[in-house]
Amino acid sequence: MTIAEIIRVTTLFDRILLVVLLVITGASIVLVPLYLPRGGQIMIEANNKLLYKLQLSDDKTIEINGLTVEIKAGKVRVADSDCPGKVCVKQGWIDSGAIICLPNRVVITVDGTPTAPKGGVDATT
Amino acid sequence: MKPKLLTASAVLFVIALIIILMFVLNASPHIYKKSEILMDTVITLTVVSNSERRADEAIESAFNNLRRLERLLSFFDAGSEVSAINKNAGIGAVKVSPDTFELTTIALEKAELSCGAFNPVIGPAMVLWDFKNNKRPADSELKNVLPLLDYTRIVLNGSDSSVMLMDKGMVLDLGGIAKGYAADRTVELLKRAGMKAGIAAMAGDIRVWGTRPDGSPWRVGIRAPRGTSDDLIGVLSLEDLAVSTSGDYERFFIEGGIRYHHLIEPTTGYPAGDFQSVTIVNPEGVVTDSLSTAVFVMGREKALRFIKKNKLMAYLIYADGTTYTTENLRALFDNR
Amino acid sequence: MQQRDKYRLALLAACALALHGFERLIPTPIPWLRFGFANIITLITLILYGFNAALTITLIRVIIGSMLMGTFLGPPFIMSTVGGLFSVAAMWAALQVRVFGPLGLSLTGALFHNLGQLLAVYVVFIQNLRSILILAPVILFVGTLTGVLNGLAVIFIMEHLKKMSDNVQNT
Repeated sequence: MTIAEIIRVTTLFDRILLVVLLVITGASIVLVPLYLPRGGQIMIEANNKLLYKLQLSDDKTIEINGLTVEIKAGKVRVADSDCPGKVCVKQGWIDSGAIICLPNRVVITVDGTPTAPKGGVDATT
Repeated sequence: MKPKLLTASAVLFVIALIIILMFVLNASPHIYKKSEILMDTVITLTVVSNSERRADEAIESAFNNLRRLERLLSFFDAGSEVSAINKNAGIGAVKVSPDTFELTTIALEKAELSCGAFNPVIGPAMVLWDFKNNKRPADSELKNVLPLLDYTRIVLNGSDSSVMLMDKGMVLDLGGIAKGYAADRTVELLKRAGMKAGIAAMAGDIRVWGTRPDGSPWRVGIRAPRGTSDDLIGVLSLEDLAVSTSGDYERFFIEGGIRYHHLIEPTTGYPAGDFQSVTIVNPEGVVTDSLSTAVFVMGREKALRFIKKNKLMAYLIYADGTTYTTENLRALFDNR
Repeated sequence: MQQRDKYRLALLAACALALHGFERLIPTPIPWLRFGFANIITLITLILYGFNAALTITLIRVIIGSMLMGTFLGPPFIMSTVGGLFSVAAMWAALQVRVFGPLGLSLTGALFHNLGQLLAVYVVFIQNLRSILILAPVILFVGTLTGVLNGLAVIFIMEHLKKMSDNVQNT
């Protein structure tokens, strides 16, 4: 059987279906990851109440309980805080995991694919 | 036809490779984690689950239970059962919920086991130490409260599940064991919710169950006492065990070259000086939480005898920075 | 059903099983992503003997196949079953429209086989919509390619069968 013969056996709808499927699935391989929220969501809780639900992709700065939270280029950090230890500020930029400010009772969680645990450990005592 | 077939198979091969890669990335286990600030500390719950929804539900119900425990056991909340017991010190017995009664019973048990080194009524001496403003109490102040630190003056009545402090001025503070208890209850709850593995970390009081998704044990780091909070001195590989560390670096101030910290020796009212930190590993969180404190304040000689007698798994860092790992913990311990 | 047709169905089921097993020899990263060669047999059966026969063959393949592989009632079994049933139903529906040839039918079968499997993965195993949404286009794209492959195979076989029966009639 030659290619010409094969093409002759297929119907018009066969060919339309093939092209449509290839285009749609091919395009969505590229497009779906683009339009899905990248990296995930940032949840900002204060006193264990969820106050903000944000996307890592939108750049923003938020003041909350004495903390200045900055979201930029898919990462989040506490830019400034009025707490004594400033552990939260020292933690710097993160794109997964959490920043916790115990004195101000603020928890910033980044939802997303968990990266390797910090320092190779799952918890610290 | 032949070159076309070749390109076609090449394309298929590349696509297959991409799929393999995506699956390696995606099939890697689903660990779900959430932190909340409760019981005056950061509580992080970690579970391993196939379903994000079931994991979220389980974690949420665990946090609800922890909030309930906090309301019962909080030392600072005037509405808690512990506060009610304290208000009625020297006055009368207070009927309490099963959780509070159970935990008080366990606390008393651990106090007896450690001959008072773990002391749930150390409150009157503790409040004299002001770690916020770095102020230490006068000797006379401490001496005055020492008689109030007698844990044998706690009376438990099982028939009506009531607790009474016999002397006015006594203060019950379950803070030294509540986090271990909370870890125990949380693991129980998460297991019942079908979570096969995970970690309940009440700050430094940690209980793990099962293994990591790849089958390896959970890795719990031990803080280096004189480093920053990120510096580790060792790592424990744990399965179905709890661990707690009591360290002189948690709450302290330094005055005249002396480090005054929150691990108070109940017979003197002063911070104990023989260790930088004590780590205890045991199946139960109530044991590790209470006995890490107890061993810390016992002092070197007594501590070693106590550990041996009770076959505890322990990692000790002495005041001079030297360390000791008990025989039964060595297989689980890695130096950093 | 005539006795001879029963034999033919048994033979076709055996072919489907053999292809089903043969596929496993081609290394793929995960148990439920394959060429779907067995669909060649299902489609031929559907065209020659109708829906009931195709459904029977699919069920035989899925059940006996999983028993031979030792995955009966396990995850791969659930995947094959859902995918197989979706695919037979969709191909039958497409056949009713009467505008598709073997290629279109094969593409429909592949598409719904994968859709069924993705649905089963989501409902039964990982309820992580994000990873499934990212994976779905890749799986469906590859499915389209294998669908073309299988469709061509069906065309070849049907032509061959036609020639054979022509020869038989001519002699």
